[in-house]
Amino acid sequence: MSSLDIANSFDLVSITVQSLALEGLLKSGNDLSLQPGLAISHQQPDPLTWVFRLRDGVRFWDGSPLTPDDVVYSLNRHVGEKSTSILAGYFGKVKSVKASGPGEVTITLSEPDPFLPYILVFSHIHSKAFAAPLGDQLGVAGPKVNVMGTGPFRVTSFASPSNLTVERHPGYWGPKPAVAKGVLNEITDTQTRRLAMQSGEIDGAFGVPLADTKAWSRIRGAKIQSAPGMQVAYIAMNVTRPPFNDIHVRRAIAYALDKQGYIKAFLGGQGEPATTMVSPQQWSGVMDPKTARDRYATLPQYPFDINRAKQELAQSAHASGFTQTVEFADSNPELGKVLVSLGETLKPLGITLNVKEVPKQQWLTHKRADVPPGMQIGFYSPDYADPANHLEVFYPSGATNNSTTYSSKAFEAALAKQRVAGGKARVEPLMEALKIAMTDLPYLPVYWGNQVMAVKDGLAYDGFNGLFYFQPWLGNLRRG
Amino acid sequence: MSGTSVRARRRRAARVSGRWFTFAVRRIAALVVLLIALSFVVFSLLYLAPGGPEQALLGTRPATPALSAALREKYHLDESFLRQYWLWLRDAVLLDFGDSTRTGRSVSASLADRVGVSLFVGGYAFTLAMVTGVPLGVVAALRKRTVLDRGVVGLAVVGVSAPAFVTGVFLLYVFSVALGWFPGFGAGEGLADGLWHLTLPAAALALSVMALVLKLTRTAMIHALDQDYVAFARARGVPERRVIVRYALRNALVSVITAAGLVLTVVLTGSVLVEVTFALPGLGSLLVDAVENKDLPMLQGLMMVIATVIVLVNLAIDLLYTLVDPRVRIGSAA
Amino acid sequence: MSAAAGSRGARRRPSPLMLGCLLVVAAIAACAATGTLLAPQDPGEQTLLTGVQPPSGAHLFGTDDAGRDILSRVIAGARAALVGPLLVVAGAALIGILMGIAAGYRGGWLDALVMRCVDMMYALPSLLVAIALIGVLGGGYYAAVGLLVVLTAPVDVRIIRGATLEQRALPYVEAARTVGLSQRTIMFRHILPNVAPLIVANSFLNFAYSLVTLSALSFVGLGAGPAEADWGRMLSDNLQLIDANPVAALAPGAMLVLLATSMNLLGDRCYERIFDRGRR
Repeated sequence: MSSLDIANSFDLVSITVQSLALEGLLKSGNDLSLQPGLAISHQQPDPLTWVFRLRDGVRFWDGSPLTPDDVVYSLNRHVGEKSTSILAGYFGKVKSVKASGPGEVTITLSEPDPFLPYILVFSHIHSKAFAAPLGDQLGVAGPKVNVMGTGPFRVTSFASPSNLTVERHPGYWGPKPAVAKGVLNEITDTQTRRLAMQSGEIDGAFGVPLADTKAWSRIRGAKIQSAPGMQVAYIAMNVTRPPFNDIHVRRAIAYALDKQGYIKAFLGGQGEPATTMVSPQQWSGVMDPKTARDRYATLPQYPFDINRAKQELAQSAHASGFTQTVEFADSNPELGKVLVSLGETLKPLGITLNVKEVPKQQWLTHKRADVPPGMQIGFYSPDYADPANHLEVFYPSGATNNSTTYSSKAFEAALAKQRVAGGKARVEPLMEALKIAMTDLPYLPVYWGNQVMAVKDGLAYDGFNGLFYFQPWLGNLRRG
Repeated sequence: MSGTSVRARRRRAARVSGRWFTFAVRRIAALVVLLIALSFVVFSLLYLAPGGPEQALLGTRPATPALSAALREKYHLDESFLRQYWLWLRDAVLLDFGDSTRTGRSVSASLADRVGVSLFVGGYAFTLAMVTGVPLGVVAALRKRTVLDRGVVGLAVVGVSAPAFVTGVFLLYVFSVALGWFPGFGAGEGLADGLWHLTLPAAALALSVMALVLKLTRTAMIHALDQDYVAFARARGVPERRVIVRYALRNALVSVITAAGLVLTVVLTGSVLVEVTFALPGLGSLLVDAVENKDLPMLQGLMMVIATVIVLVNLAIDLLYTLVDPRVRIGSAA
Repeated sequence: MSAAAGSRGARRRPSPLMLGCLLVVAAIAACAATGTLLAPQDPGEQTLLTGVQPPSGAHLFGTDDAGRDILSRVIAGARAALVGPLLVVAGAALIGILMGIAAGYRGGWLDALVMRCVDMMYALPSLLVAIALIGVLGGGYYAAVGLLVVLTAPVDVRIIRGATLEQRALPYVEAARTVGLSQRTIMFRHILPNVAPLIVANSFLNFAYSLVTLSALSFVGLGAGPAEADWGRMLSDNLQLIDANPVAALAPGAMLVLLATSMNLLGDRCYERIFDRGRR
């Protein structure tokens, strides 16, 4: 956990602890749906205006009431050219945030943004009176707790970034959680994490390494739970850089991916072979995951088939193969294993993969470079449960995560079409976009990885889902 | 004793202490030069990092024009290289190394958070290594070249030949998971709880240092037992136990303590792996964390602080040693 | 025990322990020399769907998570285990000889300069520096090897300088000087052979140290690449398979400890020999 201010720390571990203490205008439900949070309701008088009605009786931990001023202050930190917030990109279409009456906040956009409500789930509301004097020290670990929220759990100590304690917030507006006190430790070494669970020193753990689920499931006195995967592991290729500017090369690699094998060997079976970048779970707001899975069967498929990989490579301009360096972030060791295994598969084709383990920052920097590496591997956790999420961040030219220089007018037209359509009408343009994506293949989806957690016997965790990290999850824990 | 000889001795003492003083000044001056050279290397890291200083200071944060401008301003990136170094050095002397790019917390505060655990584990491991290494070294020296000697030294060497993270995981399995005697992670609160929590990490660390202490003691002991004064003491009929403890061991310990700086370096080195293995919030795990996140201000602060500590400890030992043992020739310090 | 009894013998027979150490080193050298010839299978060959397996007739040491044969990978790893540390040892010895003899023989400002540099390096905990530098600059395994050369060389320099100082005072050097031999000839033809045993002894210890340090770098993700059959890498990667196939982590771990221990003990014994000879 780096800091409790999401403007500085937008990594999974930090978000997981922030979500206990801080709330947004909306909430993410156990069924992945959007629910009222600090705003009881919202209206959209026109596509560019959103009006939020704040909940009455919400109090910060110090007893002071939530006011529209707090909301305006908190959200404006991410708005505008001058913002240094990590979330500034998500607020790119926001023109202004203003208090428009008692208990009311109005957000004005420069162009329509259907994802605004999702973003407001993790755009945390701070107490202005508390946060403003702190400046850039907001949420930073230290002898004094540098955060003041409305969440169900009050941070009682955050002395160092690896350890945090929380207590139930007695004045919380919602239902009273069963847990009175919590101690959160960040245990980075996966061996130590399992041993801590095994020795009974911790009551539960998130981020059970998928490769290790078998060993975790054998721990006596604890049980593991898994939520179907929404995270996607993918290989990205720079479509303007040889040899990957050749579609046959991209297809050859697609056919060489033994997705089932990787899941079995490296994920302990906790995943599903990915046929697109968008997991079926991501569709839950539009249609049920099973229907989505059926629709996916009609998209271009690339089953593991080494002969077809050979044929594709033979048709390319690099029939005798090539050598390529691929980096993976050391925080995702299983991706390294996938690459090494893929490299072994590609060897007979004359393709040599030099697999390199690098610090996460280096991986990020290279991926974000003006000329991204020919081939990359990555793992993405969703920002919200909507099928357009990954399509918006990965494919359009200039999108935050587009590391392939891919640019397709047809794809962007389909994506624009679903943005203005509502409900079920979005399905066809979305499928159209997916079809283009899977034909052009800038990205090769590898697998949708599950979320796995463990809890001690005698405790139960209700409603574990792929977006648990946006919820005040400690409240889902009870005896049983 | 006659008056003149007392005066002569005093004069000699004054001359020695004067020489000691110049020696100390020279050593301290050399140390300052050394630390400045080191600081230059550490500062240059910022420029050697792929992508340049701005990228390095951004860490894992995405570059926005506003953030870049703020960083350029804060770290004086628009100044000349030497001026930047000077500004950095001026702050560094006051222990201001900037803010962590990952947590936003000031580097010195982050170091202060972590230093306690590292000192505790390091001190504990140092004590364990001394308490076990010195007696075993004495035993090995007394039974020189017997099976017992070979066995004791051999086992200690296995300890130093196993990477600390392996020893750590091994101890975790046996004493935390299988036997349940010690907790598997966490630093504990207060002294008693801390001791209980940090026994396994300290033991893992001590195992990697013990061989060094043992070998040093053994060599020094063998040397001491060979000296004339020991032979004279034995000839005078001083009991063997007294000969060993009062005559040989006391002299042997002087050279063991001289090596304390070396032991400290090894302890600090091993602490990285042990802290990661046991998930302890110390300086070692902070270093690995900083590397993982390319948190350069943090790395710079860590390296300067650790190097300074080692240099100071070595200096203190050197100065003490020359005071204690006047046989050491001052001036040819190596 | 023969070692104890024969301590005053003119030519001692090596003890069983030393023979054991030599045997370990010889066996590993044989594996390294023959490459994968001795391996029952291709160390890279994978069967993802069967995955990790405990030891069996088909796989004596079992397999890892990608279904690769552990025995074959351990054998293939011998080469990396020798090459990396050998490079470090050779590099450190070379620097040690050049700078140590020159500083010790010439003395004066050169000596002072070299020794101040050595002091500076002594102030650095090498693993920490290696982690920080490789972490920031990248470069992987061979950068680590290069860095370890620089970081271990001061030990060699200091030892060789000390020995050279002793030799310089001996009559044969004085004689060589009066005969009018050049400095270079005296340093490398006369002094070097006399300090060589010390270099050898220290190289054994350096070898063990760099082997362990390189494996530690693998543990924090900065050592050998993930595709390499490297013992340190296998050890840290396969620790998580310890329930399904403990041998996958134990075998490379045991080899590593065995080789490092053997080298350490051989080095110690060399020092002892030199010490004995010096006393006679």
